[in-house]
Amino acid sequence: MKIQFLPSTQMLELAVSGNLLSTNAGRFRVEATEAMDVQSSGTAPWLGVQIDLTDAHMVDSAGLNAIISVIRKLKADGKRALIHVRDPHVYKVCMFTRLDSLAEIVQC
Amino acid sequence: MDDQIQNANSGISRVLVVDDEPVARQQLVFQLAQLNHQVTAVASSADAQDILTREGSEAFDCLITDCWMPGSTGLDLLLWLRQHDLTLASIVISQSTDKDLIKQSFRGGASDFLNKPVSAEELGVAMKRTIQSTHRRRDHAATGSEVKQAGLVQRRMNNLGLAGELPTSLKICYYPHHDAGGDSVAFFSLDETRILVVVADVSGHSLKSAFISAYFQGVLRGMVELGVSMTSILNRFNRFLTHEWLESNEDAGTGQNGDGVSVDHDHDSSPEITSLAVCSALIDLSAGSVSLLNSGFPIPNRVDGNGRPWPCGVVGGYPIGWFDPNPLSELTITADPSDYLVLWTDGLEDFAHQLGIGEWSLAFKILQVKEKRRTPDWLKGTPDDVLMVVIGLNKESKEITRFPVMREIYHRGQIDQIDELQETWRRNLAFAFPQLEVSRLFDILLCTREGVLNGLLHGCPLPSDRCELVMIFNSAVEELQIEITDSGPGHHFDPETCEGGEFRAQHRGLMLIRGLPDRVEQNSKGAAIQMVFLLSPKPEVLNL
Repeated sequence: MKIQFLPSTQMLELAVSGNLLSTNAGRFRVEATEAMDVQSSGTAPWLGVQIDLTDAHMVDSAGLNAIISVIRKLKADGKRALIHVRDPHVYKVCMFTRLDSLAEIVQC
Repeated sequence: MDDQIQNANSGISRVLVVDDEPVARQQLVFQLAQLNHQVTAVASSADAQDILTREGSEAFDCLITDCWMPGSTGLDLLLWLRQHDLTLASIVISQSTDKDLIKQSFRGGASDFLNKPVSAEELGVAMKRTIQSTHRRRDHAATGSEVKQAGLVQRRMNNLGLAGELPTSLKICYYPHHDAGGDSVAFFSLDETRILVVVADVSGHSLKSAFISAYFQGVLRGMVELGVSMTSILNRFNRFLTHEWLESNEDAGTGQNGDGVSVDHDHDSSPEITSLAVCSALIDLSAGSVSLLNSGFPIPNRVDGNGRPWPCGVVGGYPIGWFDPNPLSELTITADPSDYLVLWTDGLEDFAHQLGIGEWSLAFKILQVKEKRRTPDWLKGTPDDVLMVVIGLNKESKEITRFPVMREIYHRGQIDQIDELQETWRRNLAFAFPQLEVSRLFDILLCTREGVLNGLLHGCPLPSDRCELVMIFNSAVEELQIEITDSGPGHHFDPETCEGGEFRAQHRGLMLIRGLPDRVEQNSKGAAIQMVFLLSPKPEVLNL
C-alpha cells in the first residue's frame, strides 16, 4: 500500500495496490491505523482519509470490514472518509453494502 | 514398392547417379556395380527429376548427386526431392571440402557427403548406411499409413457399436489425437431394459495398440452375444494380455531386422506390456440400477437430475494386462430415471490438467460442441485421445440441460490459499463461458469466495471436515447454480430473521451472498448455500 499526505486537500491517501481481499485486508488495516496515528501525532492539520481503490477489481467482505474499521476510527475523530473506485463491480459492492452511507464514494 | 522389396531382399539396390562430368560419372557407375548395385546414371539435375518423376522415386534406394552442375545444382535437386519424397535418402559428392557446402548439403536433406575422388571402401560404407536409411524411412511411412487405416477401422467400429435401437439417450464425444490405438466404446442392448456399455482405453498408439483395441472389441462382441458376463470377459482378456500376448511379443520383438541390423523403433512408443483400462456399466432401467466394473479407468460419475455429480466409487483396480489374476470388484448404484452416467478416458483428465482447469469444465465445454465430426481448434492440443460418453438412465431420449461445470472439495487448511482457489474458479469459468460478462464473473467469484471462506472458517472446525463447491449450468434457463456445503452446524443465528445495521456490519459476506446472485437459498442454517446467477445479458440493477 502506498501512503502519502496530500497537502492540497489535507487528506491522507491510502492507495491499495490491487484487490482488497481477505488475504491482504489485515495488513491494510494495520498499516492504515499506523498511518493515521502518525498523522494525528504530527502538527499538520488533516481532514481525513482518501482510500484509493482505483487499482482494485474486487473487494470482499474482509476488505470491506477493514475499510469500515478505518472509517470508524476516522468518525470517532470527526474526520472525513473518501473512497475512490474505478471498477464498476467494486462500486456496486460499495453501494450494495451501504458503504456510501459511511463514506463518500467517488467513481473515477 | 514390389521392386523395392525384391531389391531389399536380394541385397541389390537401385541407385540413381547424377553427375555432369562423364569420367566421374562412369567411375561411380563402375564402383557401384562392383558393390552389386543396379545403377541408373544421368548428367543433370533436370534429367534426374525427369527420371524420378517418370519411374517414381520409390523405384530407387539411393540418390547420389554431384554438387556443382550447370543449371540446377545438386542442392537444388535435393530441395526438389524433399518436396516430392521424404523417404529417398541421398549422398552429395563434391571436389570441394568447403564446410558451408557440407552444412548446406545436410541441411538440404543429404544423408552423407563424400569428397571426390571417392574410394570404394568409403562409398561402400556410405551406400549401406544411406540405403538402410531409405528403407527405414519407408517402413515408418508404411507403418504410419497402416496405423491411420487401423484408426479409421476403429472409429468405424465405435460407430458400429451404436447401430440398432438403444432404449436410452446417449452422447459420445470422441476426439482422437493419434491415428490409431486410443479409446473405444461399445453398446449392447441386452433386452428391452438392460444396456451394457463398455468404454476402453488401450495403452500406446502403435499398430499393436490398434490391434489389441480391435481384438478386444471383437472378443467383447462375441462373448456378450454368447451371454458371458463382463467379469469373465475381462478375466479372459487379462489372461490373454498377461500371457499369450506378452509371450508372442517376446518371440517377435527382437528389435532387429532380417539382416540382424538394429532397427529404429522411435515411432513406436508403446511399452512392452500392452494394457487396457476398461469400465463397463450394466444399466438396468427397470430396476433403476447400474453395475459398474472398473479396471484402471477414471472414476465414472452419476449426474443427478439437478446436474449434481456423484462419483461412483474410488479409483478402479489395475488395468487389464498388468497382473494375473487381476481381482475385479463390482459396484452397484441405484439411479433415478432423471440421472445420467458420465464416463471419460484419462485423455480428458490429462488435457484438463494441461489447460489448468478441472475435468468438469472441460467435459462441459466438450458437450457444447455442436459439430461433432470436426475437432474444434481448442481441442486440437490434446495430448491424448479424448473420449466422453454420457448415457441417460431412462428410456426416453432427452436433452441434457443441467450439467456440472466444477466440483471441488476443500479443507480448513486451504483458507490461506483462497486467492489461488479463486484463480482456479476464474480459469474454469472463463474457459466454460468465454462470453461471460466481466462484471458478472466478479459477482460469481466474490460470492463463491465469501461462501467458501464462510464454509472453511465456520463450517469446518475439525481437520476431517470438508467444504464442497459445486457449479452447475442449466442451459434451459442460462443459469449458473453454485452450491457450497460444509459439514458444520451452520450459523448460531437465524439469517432469515436477522436484519438491521448491526447485522449488516457483522455479516457483510452474507450480505454479498444474499444480494449479488439472482436467487439464493440457504439450508441447514447456512451450512448449505445455493446461489443462482443468470448468465444471459440482463440490465444492471442493484438488488438493494
